[in-house]
Amino acid sequence: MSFDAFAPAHRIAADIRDGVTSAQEVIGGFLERIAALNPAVNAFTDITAERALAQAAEIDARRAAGQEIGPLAGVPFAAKNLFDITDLPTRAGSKINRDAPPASRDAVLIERLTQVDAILLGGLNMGEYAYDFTGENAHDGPCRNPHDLARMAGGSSSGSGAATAAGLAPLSLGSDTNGSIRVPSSFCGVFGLKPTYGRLPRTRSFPFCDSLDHLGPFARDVTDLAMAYDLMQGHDPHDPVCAARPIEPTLPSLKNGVSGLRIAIAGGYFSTTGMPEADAAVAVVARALGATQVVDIAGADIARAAAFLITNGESSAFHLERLRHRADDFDPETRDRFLAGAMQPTAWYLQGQRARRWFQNQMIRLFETVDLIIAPATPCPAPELGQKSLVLRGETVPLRPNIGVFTQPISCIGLPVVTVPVFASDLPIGVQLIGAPWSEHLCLRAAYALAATEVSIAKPPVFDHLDHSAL
Amino acid sequence: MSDDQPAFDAGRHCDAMAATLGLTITEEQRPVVLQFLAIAQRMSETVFRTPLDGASFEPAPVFRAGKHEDGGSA
Repeated sequence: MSFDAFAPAHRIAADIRDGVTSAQEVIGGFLERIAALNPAVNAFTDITAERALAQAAEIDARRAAGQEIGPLAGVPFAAKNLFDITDLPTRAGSKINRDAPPASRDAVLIERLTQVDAILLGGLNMGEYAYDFTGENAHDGPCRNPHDLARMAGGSSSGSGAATAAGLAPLSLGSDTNGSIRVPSSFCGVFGLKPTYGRLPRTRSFPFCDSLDHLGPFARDVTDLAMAYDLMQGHDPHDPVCAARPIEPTLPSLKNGVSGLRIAIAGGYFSTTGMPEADAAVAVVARALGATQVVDIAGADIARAAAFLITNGESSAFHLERLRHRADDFDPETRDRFLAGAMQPTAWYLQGQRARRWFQNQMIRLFETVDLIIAPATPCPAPELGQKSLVLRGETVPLRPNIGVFTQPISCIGLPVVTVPVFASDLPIGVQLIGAPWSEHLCLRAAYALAATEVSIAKPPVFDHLDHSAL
Repeated sequence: MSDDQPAFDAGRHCDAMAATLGLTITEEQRPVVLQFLAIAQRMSETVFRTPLDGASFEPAPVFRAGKHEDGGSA
């Protein structure tokens, strides 16, 4: 069977199970592709080839012996380099962390995927210490957008978005504190799930801001996204935030459609006036989902400010010793934000936490009347690398703190979101499907409906048409 | 926050807090640090507009007594 870098993960698993191909053939194909394309895309910072090939051989041997293999047997995946990977230092996009001893054990989510026989290919590029929306990194170089290598992949889970979009791994893991799954999903044109805060355990991942940190998957296929998410669910007592909820599988209801769901469009703060690509993408998704009602998300500006202050306060206090003693070893683009955050008054932080609870109460009331809310993921498609400012509704604003203007209020209160890609041109842009707490199944159902009607598809990057034949 | 509060002076705030925290802010870093302090101050004005009940006080961080295995934070 010929190697297909864009085959969905669930089909790869089925082909290996059926003997159409082998885990070793699949992993060999992806490693070859990474070697060829990663120098241009810069999505991977570490490639765990030896481990991957050994695991693939073990899976093939088990299958040949008629023994059980897992539901993701032989499926390659990769993880943002803030996830612990055995025998590697957890760099979290930084130079400083490279001095740390190698991890002695994988992060829980990597362990859970490995337990079902998915195969880790390596660690992925990211913005330093996750304080980033661009994907630029002074230490490892910028992660480049596979749809246009001169543009940003988005951050901070830049490598996760880029590797998934470029066909370097059908599944990847990232983190989202203020938008770091949803922004790269939008810029790279893939599906991303930021689950409810507290759903997936963060154990053995390097933190950014404990009050707001989430982990979640990226994929080019909604079934893959749901499958990976289902297989990673479950309480872990070592993450104090992780909810002690039963596993709530989403695959059984994935194809139920959106009939009967009350779906609204976010207005007010989320207005896309003056943002033509975002406006068109929201309109296409709303039309496909039959949504006409516009709801005002009152207090979204307060939630965004709260998320900003909570992030500033917690992350900068966490890095204070590093800022005192190794400030020169930070990426200048993140260092100066951390320095400012370290000096933030406690009262601002605590008022942010109080406002967060207030906004949650507002939104819980809104979710009594709607099931899903449609909102833009980013105000624009991927900016060019090095771009420093952004025109937002006619006003020129600094780019870095404003790319997440639509994602930040949502993660502030931990709502589940699936970001779906829309291609109006060669450059994609994402749309958020936002649910009430613990309703990931509804977000995924709507995403599946959009994919089934080809409103949202993760198109292979254009460069791939040029290079694919050589691989 | 009262309306008659003096305007925020990011430079003075930076000088006082950097010394208190043992942070060195170089001349090269200072303009960007002040820019982000000013953004944070504007964000604080926004969160202080939240129509809160005066008795509401629920910082979100989770702490539970006991060991990890008990569901606590150890």
